[in-house]
Amino acid sequence: MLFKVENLNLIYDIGKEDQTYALRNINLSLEGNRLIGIMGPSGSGKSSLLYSLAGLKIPSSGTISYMDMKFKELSVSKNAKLRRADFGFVFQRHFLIDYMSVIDNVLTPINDNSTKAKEKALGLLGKLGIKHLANKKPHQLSGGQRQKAAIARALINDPKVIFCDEITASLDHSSAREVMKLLDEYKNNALVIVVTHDESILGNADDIINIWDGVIKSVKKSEINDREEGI
Amino acid sequence: MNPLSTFKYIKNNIFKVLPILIAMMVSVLLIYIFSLVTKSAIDITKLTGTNFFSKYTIVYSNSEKLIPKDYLERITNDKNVGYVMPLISEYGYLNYSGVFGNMSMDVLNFYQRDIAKIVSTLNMKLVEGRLPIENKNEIIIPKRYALQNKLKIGDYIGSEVSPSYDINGKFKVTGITDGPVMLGVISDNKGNVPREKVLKQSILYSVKDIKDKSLINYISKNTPKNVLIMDYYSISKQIDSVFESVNGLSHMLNMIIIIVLCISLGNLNYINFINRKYEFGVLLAIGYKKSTLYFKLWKENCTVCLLGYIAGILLSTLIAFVLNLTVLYVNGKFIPLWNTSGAQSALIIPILVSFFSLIAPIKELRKTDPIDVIGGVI
Repeated sequence: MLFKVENLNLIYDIGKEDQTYALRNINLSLEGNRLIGIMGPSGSGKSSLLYSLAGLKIPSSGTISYMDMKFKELSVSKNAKLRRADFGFVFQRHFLIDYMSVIDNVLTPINDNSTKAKEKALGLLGKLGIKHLANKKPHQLSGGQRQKAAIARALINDPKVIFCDEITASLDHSSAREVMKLLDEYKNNALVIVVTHDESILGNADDIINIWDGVIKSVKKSEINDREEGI
Repeated sequence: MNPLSTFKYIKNNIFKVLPILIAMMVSVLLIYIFSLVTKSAIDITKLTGTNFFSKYTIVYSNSEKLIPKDYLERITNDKNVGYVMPLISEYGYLNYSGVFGNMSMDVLNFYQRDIAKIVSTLNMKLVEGRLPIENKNEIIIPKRYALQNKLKIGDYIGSEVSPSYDINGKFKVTGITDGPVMLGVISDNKGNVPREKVLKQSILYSVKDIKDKSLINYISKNTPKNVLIMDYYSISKQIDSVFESVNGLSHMLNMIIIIVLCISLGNLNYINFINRKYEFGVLLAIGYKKSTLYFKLWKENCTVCLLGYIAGILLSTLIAFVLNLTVLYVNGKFIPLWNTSGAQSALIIPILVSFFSLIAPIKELRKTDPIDVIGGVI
């Protein structure tokens, strides 16, 4: 089992009068290389679930295990090491480092500029169609190009899991579709988890988790990609 | 260069790091120039004082009474004494004006036959003219003094020429010397005092090994009432006490600069960090440890500070070189181009500032939650 979530609760303002449940009693198992969408309106807890799965948010109660390792039992340093080795992140905003070139941004997670690493980065940029922009600075790129560069950065360490948080929110529809197509191509190599409130981009998702007020309301399994493994 | 390397950061953010680099450079320049000027004063005291006494010790009677025979024999027979020669008299002083202030330079009166030996053993080079002839009212002077006072061979100095001279009479400059010792030498024995008599009253002995203190310890402890000694250690002690206060001033300046820089660069670093907070938030999110990022911040800051330090030292050296070339050498003055202790003392600035000016950014990084950054709450 890649991820196992048991009785997960994430509460904001613990100890105060108005406690907010970002996540309430979540039980979930995620397995295999596939594209999973997490759907829900703003404030439903979908990003909280994503970042909890990534080990960036500490649950108020319950456990999250990744490959039988419980996050709460991992030290901060081991948690960081795990994120850097096994996970890739694409955020709502590209969060590219402004003073670095595109290729340096892509190489940031591995902090390596060997010829091999550069070739790999250029290969990824080539696949994403922005190889010619490798030496440009982020401010010289369009929104879609920046997001593609951020995707290349997320893929450079060959992650086992790719976390994508509202990655199409700041893109026009065609750029959004293009980005999703790229992630769809990558789902054979990793578990891709995409958080969005736009169902139209999850056309190729293997599973879609619907979340509402911190509670999983339904899990929609794709009929086309019906596999043995999954949620 | 790796994407997160320090030099890549500096190369890509040259205008952001420039204020820190310039502030460091100016501060180091201030401290280092001060240390060069201080060293110039120390070098002058060496030239006019200690260098002479590292080779010779003067022992003389300050009254009509002679130096006791056994005391003289103890000196003459000591294994650390090379040779003994008569010093007819200390004839006065020549005032040399250095960068830091005025210094007095001895004018010693020897028998003519001893002068060549004195000049050669002190590694002084007669760069112009000739050595003085006995009773001809002639003098040899150091090149720097000649330059400063626009004196040439054939010119006259002395109280009869100008009351500003601290040597009685009128002496013709017959030679100009250069080397590690600045000394005026004359040969005046108009009273025809026999050499043997002077050897009992006022002597100069050469010291073979300045580190061997047994003789000087003995003669200092057993000094007869009428005898005075001028030696390397007593002269050094006097000079050191003068420079102690200068060193104190230098340390105070250092401390003030460090405090001012820690506060100002601390604020600058804090503003820079706030502008880069998202960068660190993303690096934390993708799996960089905070300790790695603290070290990254320090390496960047330390490198900029050290580059500022190097620039400060180089600029100071350049300034000293230009000053020497244009203003000082022609006036017989100089500033040394390098001062090891000054450079070491100035190095404390970038080292301390690189740590203390990061307190605020480190505190801010410590409380940075990557979720706040990537979620947009910076």
